[in-house]
Amino acid sequence: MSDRPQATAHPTPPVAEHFESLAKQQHAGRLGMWAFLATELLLFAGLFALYATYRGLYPRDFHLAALHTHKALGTLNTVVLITSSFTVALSIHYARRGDAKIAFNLVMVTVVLGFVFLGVKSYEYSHHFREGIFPGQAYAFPALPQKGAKIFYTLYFFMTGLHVIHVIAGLAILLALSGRVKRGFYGPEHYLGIELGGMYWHLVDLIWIFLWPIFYLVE
Amino acid sequence: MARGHHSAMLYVVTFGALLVLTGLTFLLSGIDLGAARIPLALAIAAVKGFLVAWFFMHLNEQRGVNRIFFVVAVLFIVILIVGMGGDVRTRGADVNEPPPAVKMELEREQEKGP
Repeated sequence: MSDRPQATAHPTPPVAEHFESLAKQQHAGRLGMWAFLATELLLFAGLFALYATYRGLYPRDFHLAALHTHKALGTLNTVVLITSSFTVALSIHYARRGDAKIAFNLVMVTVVLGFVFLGVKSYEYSHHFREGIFPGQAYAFPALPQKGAKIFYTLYFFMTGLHVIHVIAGLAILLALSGRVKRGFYGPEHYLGIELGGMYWHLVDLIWIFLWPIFYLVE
Repeated sequence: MARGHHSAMLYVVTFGALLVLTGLTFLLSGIDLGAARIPLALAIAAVKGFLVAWFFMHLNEQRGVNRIFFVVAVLFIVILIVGMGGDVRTRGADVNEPPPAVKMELEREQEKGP
């Protein structure tokens, strides 16, 4: 047998020297990803805790400030992200079966939905800016109580902005992996790359599931 | 490793459940539920988060140690948020007032004089 993996449709990946078996290598990969995702969750957890704290201090201000977020657009984006989470899960399912074409198409659908999310979000941001809701010194919304509303919108921009950065990173990861999906690189034994990329995308969805009620549904 | 690999139906059902729960959250947000409103919305969000992690992220196929990472992270988040949120809510009217121990210290120093 030659050292190079054969150019079959679903090559078995080489096992690195320091792993006993492919199963252990893949388990290590997943474990690493879960550790990374746990740190991501904890990054957002600090911000959610700040939200809970300031909401306790300024319940009325938060209530009034939340009237100025777009409930319909936020809900639309929730549905868009949940759908994209579903399409990427299906894509991995078909990649595991060796259906490269369906898997690739589903990755592309996911990417398109990701861009739809970004489009809706930027429309929302531009609308806030026109209303005078802009971070920093420019916070000027005569209709709202100043202190609590400022904190609400600072958290809103920071948390949704941080989430948008994650959406962009997730899109970059999916696009980077799409070539391999198209070539039929992944198969029943070997799909760790796309599985971990998909997990990152699911995390993006998971965080939004919690951002949606605290910013859009609390009016 | 196709261990525990199931049909695509599982993802379709999960997706359907997520959409139903999203719709339910949206409908409930239009009803005046008083203080129960946010906890209820977050409880539904927690169920949705669990569905995503368990089925879409394949926690159902994982070995125990990977589940522990997720469970421990969630546990720490709950401790952090409940602790911080609960603290400010139960301090009383003026949260800017120093805690009793600090106040006593300040008063003692004032009594001593400059």
